[in-house]
Formats: sequence, C-alpha cells, structure tokens
Amino acid sequence: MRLNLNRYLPWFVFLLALLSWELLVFIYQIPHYILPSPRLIGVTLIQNFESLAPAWWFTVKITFGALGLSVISGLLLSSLFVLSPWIERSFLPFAIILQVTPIVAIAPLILIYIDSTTGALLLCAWIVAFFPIMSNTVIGLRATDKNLRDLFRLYKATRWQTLRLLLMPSASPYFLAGLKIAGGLSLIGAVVAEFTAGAAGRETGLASRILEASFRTETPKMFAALVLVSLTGVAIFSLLNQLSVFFLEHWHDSEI
Amino acid sequence: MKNKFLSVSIALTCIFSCIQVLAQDKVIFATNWKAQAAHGGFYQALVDGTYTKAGLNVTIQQGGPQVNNRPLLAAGKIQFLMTGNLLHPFDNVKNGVPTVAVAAMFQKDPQALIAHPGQGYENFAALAKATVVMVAKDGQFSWWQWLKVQHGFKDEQLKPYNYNLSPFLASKTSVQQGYSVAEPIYIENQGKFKPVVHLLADHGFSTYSTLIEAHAEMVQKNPDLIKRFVDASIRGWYNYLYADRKAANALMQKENPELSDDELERSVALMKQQGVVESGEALERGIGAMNANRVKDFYDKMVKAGLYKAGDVDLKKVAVFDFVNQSVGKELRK
Amino acid sequence: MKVDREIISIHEVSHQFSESIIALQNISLSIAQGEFVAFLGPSGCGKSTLLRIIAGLDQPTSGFAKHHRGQASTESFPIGFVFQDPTLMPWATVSQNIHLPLKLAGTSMSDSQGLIQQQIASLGLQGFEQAYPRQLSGGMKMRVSIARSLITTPQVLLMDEPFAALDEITRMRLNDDLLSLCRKQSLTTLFVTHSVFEAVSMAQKIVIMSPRPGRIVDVIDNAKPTDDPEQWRVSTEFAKRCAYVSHQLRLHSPQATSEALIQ
Repeated sequence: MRLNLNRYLPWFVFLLALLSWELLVFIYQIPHYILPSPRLIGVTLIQNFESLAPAWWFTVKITFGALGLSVISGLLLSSLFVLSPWIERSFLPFAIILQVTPIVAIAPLILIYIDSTTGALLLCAWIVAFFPIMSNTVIGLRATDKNLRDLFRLYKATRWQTLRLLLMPSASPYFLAGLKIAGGLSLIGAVVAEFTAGAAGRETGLASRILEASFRTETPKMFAALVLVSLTGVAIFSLLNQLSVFFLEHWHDSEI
Repeated sequence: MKNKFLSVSIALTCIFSCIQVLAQDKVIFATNWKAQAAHGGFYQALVDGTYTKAGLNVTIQQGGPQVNNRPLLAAGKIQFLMTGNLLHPFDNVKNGVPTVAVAAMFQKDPQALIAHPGQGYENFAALAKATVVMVAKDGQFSWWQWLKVQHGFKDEQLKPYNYNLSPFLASKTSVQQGYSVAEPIYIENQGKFKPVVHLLADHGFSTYSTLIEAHAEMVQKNPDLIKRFVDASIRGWYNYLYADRKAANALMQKENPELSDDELERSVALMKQQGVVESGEALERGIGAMNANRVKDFYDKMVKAGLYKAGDVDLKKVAVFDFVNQSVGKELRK
Repeated sequence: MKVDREIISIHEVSHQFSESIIALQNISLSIAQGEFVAFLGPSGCGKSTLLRIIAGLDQPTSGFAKHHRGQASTESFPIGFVFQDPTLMPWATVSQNIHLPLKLAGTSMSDSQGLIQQQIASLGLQGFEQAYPRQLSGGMKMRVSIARSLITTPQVLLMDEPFAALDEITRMRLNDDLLSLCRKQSLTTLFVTHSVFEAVSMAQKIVIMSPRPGRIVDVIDNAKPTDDPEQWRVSTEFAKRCAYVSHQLRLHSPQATSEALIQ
C-alpha cells in the first residue's frame, strides 16, 4: 500500500489541481477568454490538433536540433579548452558574453542577418543551451582524479587516450548534469526566439501559434499550445533523466 | 472686503477643481502601434483638455510591433482599444469575445505595401512574387491572411517587421508594410528615394480603420462614458487636423522619439490629401461615422475571399452605431 | 633468493618544492633485483616523493634515479605503481580496470583475457570480474589495484602505503599475499609504509628516513630466520627486531615518536 502511494502521489496531486481549476472556473463563471477550464483546453487541443501538430513538430525539431548542436560544440570546445589553456583564455570571454546577453535582445538582430528562419531559430536556441554543457563539462574534465592522471602518465598514455579513456568518462556525470539543464533551456530558447523574432507561415512552431491565438483572443487555443510546450519540456526532462540514470547508475553517486 | 472675496473665490475654485478631478472617469486607451500622426486626434484631445472637459482622465497606452494590447480589453484591463481594421472585431465576435466597435476614425484604411522604385513593383500584382515581405504581428494575423487568399501572397515570403527600416532599405527587392501616410515619408528621409506605395484599400480591402473598440458590457452598463470618450476623440481629431497641433505633436514625439516635426506635418498633409479621415459619410455625418451596410459589405468580401464562412460572425455584435453619425465636432472644421 | 644485480640506482637525489620546502636531500641508494625494500619514516619525510621520482612521475631537482632494464619481454613495462588510494576507474568493471595498462599499450580485451584471468586468480578476485568498484570492499579494491599493477609483468613494483586505509585483518592478509606473490614472480618491491610492524613483517631491507628534509639515516638488514610470515611474526626475534627498528626511527626523528605505529 505504501509503495503504491509513493508512486501515484504526484499524479494524484496533479489531478486534484486540475479538478480545482475546473471547479474554480465553474464557480466563478470565469469567461473562456480570460481563463479557460481544463476541459475546454482539452477539447480545443483535440479539435485543433491537426493545425497544432505540425507547429509542435517544428518546435521539437528546433529544440533537439539545437540541443544536438550544443552537445557537439560543448564537448568539442570543452575538450579544446582543457587541452589548451591558450585557447581557453582567448575564447572564454566570448562564451561568457554569449551566455549573459539576453536572447530577447539578440533574436531580432539574428533574424535580420540570417536569411533562413529555421537557421536563425536554431542559432538562438543554441546560444541559450550551449553554455551549461560547455562549462559543466570543463569542470568535469578538470575534476579528474589526480592519481588516475598519474597512472595514465605512468603508462605513457597519449593525449587522445587520456581524453577518451579517462577525462571523458570522469566528466560524464558533470556533462550529463549540464545536458539536463541544456535540454530545458533549448526548448525555452526555441520558443522565446520565435516569440521575439516572430516567425510566420510555414516554418513556425508553437510560439507562433501562441502569438496568433493571443492576437485573435483565442485564449483556449493559446492554452492548448502552452500545454503542448509544457508537455515537451517534461518529456525532454524525463528523457535526459533516463539517459543520465542509464549511464551513471552503476557507478556514480548521483544516480545510485 | 476685497480680500475676503478673493480668498473665498480661491477656496471655491480649489474645491471645484478637486471635485472635478475626483469626478473624472479613469480611462485607458490602448493603441495598436507606436505613436504617429495617424494617432494624432487622440493625443490632441489629451493635451488640449478635450478629454478633461468631458470628465475623462485618459491615459494613452502605446502599442508597437512586438506589443499585443488586444487581450487587455476583454480582460477589462483597458477601457478602449484602437483597431486597425474590421478583421479583428470579426474574429472576436466569432470566438465569443464580448467586444464591440463603437466608432471608426478612418474612413479609409491607410494600410499599404511599400516597395523600391524601378524593381517592377509599380504593378501591384508583382508584389505577390517578391521574395521578402515584411509584416508585423498584428498584420500577420489580419490583413496578411486576406492578401494570401485574395492576391496570392505566400507565407514563404513573410518576414517579421520590427519597426526597423534597415532591412527594407538594404534590400531592393524586399517589400514592407506601412501606413500610406507615414512610412513613405520616413523612407524618403532615410533612404533618399521615393518608394512605391500600394494601398490595400485600392485593391479590395474596403474596411474602416482606426476603430475604437469597447467592452460589450460597458455598452450596456455605461454608454454615457463611451459617448463622452467618442465625442471627445472626434473633437480631438477635428482640432488635430484644423487647429493648433503643436502640443499634440510634441507629446507624440515624447512617446516615440523617432518622430520629427517635419514627418508629422507631412503625414497630416497626406491624411488630408488621401481622405483617410474625412471622406464619404464622414463629410456628412462627422468623423467617426460608421454604417452597418459597409460593415456587411466588407464582411461579404471577406467571406468570398475565404477568410470566413457565411454564418461565422453575427454582424449585429460587431459594431454599434449609436455613438457616431451625429455630426459631433463638425463646427471645428475649417 | 639471489639478490645480486643492481636494478635501480638512486644517485644523490634532492628535490625541492620551493625555497623553503626541501623534500629530499641527497638520497643515494642501490636496489638489487628481487629485493623487497621497505621505506619507513614519519609523515612528510619525502617517502612518497622519492617513490614518484623513481617511477618517473616527478623529476628531481638534482641527482637521478636510473633503471637497469632486465631481460623482460618487449611487452612488459618495468614498473608497477600502487597508490594509497586504490585509484580505480569507477565507471569500469574489475576486468576493465585490470586491463587498463595493456589497453593503453594497444592490446585488446580479447587478447588480454588470459593475462587478466591470471591476475584475478592470483589476487583472489574470482567471481568479481564484472563487478564495479563501488560494489567492492576496501581490501578488494586494493587487490584490483595490485592486479592492475602486475598485469604488465613489471620488474619493479612501487607501493605507496597501499594498505594504510585498511583494517588490521585485511592488512595482514594482504601483506602475506603480496609477499608470496613478490617471491613467486621475483619482483623487486619498494614498499613505503608508516608501520614498523609491516616493514619488519615483509621487507628484506628497511630504509629509515628522517623528517623533512628527507635523508636516509639508516639501512637495516632485515634477515629472517624463516620464510613463513606467520611463524616470523610470532617469533621472539620479530619482537626484538621491531623494537630495534622503532628505536632507530625515534633516534633520528626526535619529535616523531608517535608517528611510527607499532601495531
């Protein structure tokens, strides 16, 4: 009985919250254009799924595309930074500037300079997602056990061997932590970039649908699109969590 | 004796003013763009005391390319909303959102597409083949939809317009949106050339423009407030067009520092020249005039274009005509 | 055991970390093949530094430590090193950890199976081939570390206080196992320790070092009447030897009396 409760408790609480929301809207007769009820949102979602689905897919593509790019560039750059202090000192300021400049300010500019809307959105989402992966991996690479390093040195391991067999596995918990953060940020970046830069037409994701619904005061539709965004965020989070468990559960304290 | 009289007068004046201030209705009016001459009448009524005299304490809240003031009206956060065309009210009624148009300040929609000269865009049909058409969000979800179905424009051409002329100036083949009474002037100043301007109204987009929308509940519960606001706004427009508008211009420049005196004046001249504010029924029945037939006619056009289906919108809910067509303010015309 | 040929010569090695910290001062020592040498001394006397210098991990500020490579096969590496910490890769299994030195030399896992199995057998790790380090006790982890150090059939085994973190019983068992292993493979073993007991138990030669700056203050010949470690430990000779070594230790490090653990 106790075991069951633990597992189902979050679901139960969530359902309770939805129910309260539905009741609130009903009791206070809140109009649908101010706060739609969960039931109405659900109905709207199903009715509009045909038009929302391609937008959802687009947002998912951008998110995972940016995440993939962030992983590759994050791993590459962090390895470079660790292998060469010169490179690190030269390029770290740029990385930091990219990190701290708000994407809402950069996004419209990027859209001016880059012709392809998809390309611009990918770039914006990448900017937001790349830094946590890179900085976490650098820390992880540096956190390698000193004795293990000596061991590798003792056996005359090449730089590449050390990177591949020692530094990378050592850094993997840190990298995966960074990846979990970057996953959520990638989605946020994709959505915010689209909001700010304002895409339209064929190459559009959920952000444009939200905007469109907002301009046309189609509030239930707006909420429906928001639900899809949240679902995507939750899915990404649990996916990356599973990944982390898979790689770390047999040896790292964080996932045991 | 004189002193006593003076002090009593001063005291009474103070009390009166206090009562007046307390008695004023607080009104927020949100526009759909950054301040420009096409909003001039409202700012005029604000600075020359017309709103105050009507017992209204008005705040004008600017819109902008990224700003969406629309949901605020239904939510009751603002009292009146400026709308650029009838498509927004149609959509609201279609979605069961209780807002209604109460006045139409522009008889002609100055919404236009603007292009570089010498690129073949002198012919309107050529615009539909342009690689890039820059449209801001508000337009994207209204008249752009009409351009797609009626004139063969495609979403692939669409790029967001962020109130920045540089992308247009930089690319000769690009097209951007604008008001026929505004952007061409700025473009001439910055780009040093006279652009090609195509009014949507000349190609079938026969909507009223710069409409004032109010909440349907206010029409029921407080029509007097609406009447006072509409009347004062109408007077404001007459004064802006025909009287001293320096103060109104100054206020708009404060709100939108990109405006220059010269641009504002030329804009006013164009508005008069193109009959944007005063033409058709407005000449007879005063600025702000609206009639149900024209609303229906425009709706039918949109149905034919495929934007709506015949029964989608209950036209009775789109607009009320009780607050206009009474030749208010005509005496201010010179 | 024949202990003739010199395998390591340490010649006037001094090592300075900075102006004020002189770790080692003028260490000269000759180590013959097959010898089991214990380095005994208080904390901070430079024993670990000396070991690292012999291993080639650090370079001395003056002097040198030279290896005379023997008739080992081309595949073997002259040195094995066991740290105080088992220093295992936590993300790898026991087999993978043992395999590491061979992997770095380019030998695949499948080719190394025989050697790995051998090590697992001699270190008593049967059944744990696929286990991960976090599943092992401290003693087991240390066995894996030793197995790893021996996989390349080194001529010299360097051990830096390897059993210091283990409990008494495990320690004694590992002492005995190590000793028999070294004898069987004729390994030259340099064993740094805090423990007089350990040194006297296992070593043939005990090098006593002074506190910083570390110098060799005495080299004691630890001749044993018997090869059986258990018998040696219970003999009276053992106790006397321990007392003598402790005495020497205290003699040359007046403030370090409590440092040398007599267990």
